[in-house]
Amino acid sequence: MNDECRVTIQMILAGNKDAFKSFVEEYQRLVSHIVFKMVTNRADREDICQDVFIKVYENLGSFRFESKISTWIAQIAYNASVSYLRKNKLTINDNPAIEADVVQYISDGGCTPADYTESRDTSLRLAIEIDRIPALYGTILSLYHLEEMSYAEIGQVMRMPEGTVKSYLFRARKLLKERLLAKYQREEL
Amino acid sequence: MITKHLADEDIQLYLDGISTTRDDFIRRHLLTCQHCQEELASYQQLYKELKDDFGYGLSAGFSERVSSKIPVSCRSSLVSQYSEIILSLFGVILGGFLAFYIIGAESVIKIFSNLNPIGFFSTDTTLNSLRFFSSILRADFHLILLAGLILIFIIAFDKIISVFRYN
Repeated sequence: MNDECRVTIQMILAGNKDAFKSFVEEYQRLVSHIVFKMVTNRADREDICQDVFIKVYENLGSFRFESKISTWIAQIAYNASVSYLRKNKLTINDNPAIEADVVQYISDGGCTPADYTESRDTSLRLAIEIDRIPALYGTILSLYHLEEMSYAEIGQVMRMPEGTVKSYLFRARKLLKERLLAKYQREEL
Repeated sequence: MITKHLADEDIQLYLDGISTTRDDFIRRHLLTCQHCQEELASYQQLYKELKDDFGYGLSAGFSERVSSKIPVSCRSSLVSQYSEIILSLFGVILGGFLAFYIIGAESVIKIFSNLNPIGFFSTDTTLNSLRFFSSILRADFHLILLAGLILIFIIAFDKIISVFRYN
């Protein structure tokens, strides 16, 4: 835990709103990676992310610096997502294909879905495939590859043994590779 | 001709940089097996793509909106920070008053006059420890019982607060 982080936390606890805003900006990517992977309902996702940060704020005083702050925030985001799914009687693996998100993303970025089908944008192709695999796999992939968390940290966030994290991660990557290879030539990947 | 190829797990462990007893074998195999080289290349490409943040971003001004909601929870945060201390102190004061009220001031003074805690910390620890505990036994048993009950009450109350706070 670096000193800068401790100082930021102390400033937030002292009621500094600007410090909290910077804190949110720093960790909103992490929170959105978890919530957006776990929750498919677009309308509720941002509210959940907002609730996560309010919960983080309310409990920041009880953070004991025993783990990384990112692991602690990720844990809150994961728990909030699981609570949402439970409340709405959904399971983590109820993750229908949400290509609509990708389509929305393309539109936001200024290109149309038609342009996309003609393009060979591997990132978007992969994004579509990630949305089709179980949410649990998608979340683990994000935490490992984007947030650079270790197996142990992911296990702590998702309350599962390190071995299970490793096995899910391997299965997810294998699944993605096979699906992409089945659709596209090896050279296109 | 190579008939047995590397497992997906081997290639992924190799790319993750996780050391195993098969490291040398994997490296040697990859030098000679074209099939596994192609598999490795596919995984390398996948790893590269996975590093690119597709990121379903939150809408603009998200941090501002969250920050604007804070003043309401600010007070509750400060209260929650000190609630355990305040409630524990309240428990101790309440326990003291109860002791005075139920047993009476005379008995409380008697127990403190019977106790000799200084002797407990002196050099002759074994003998003095025995003296200290015998002085406790001579004291009013009801007062000790009451103190124990108050302690249990405080611990239980603290536990309830912790459960609420962390859930």
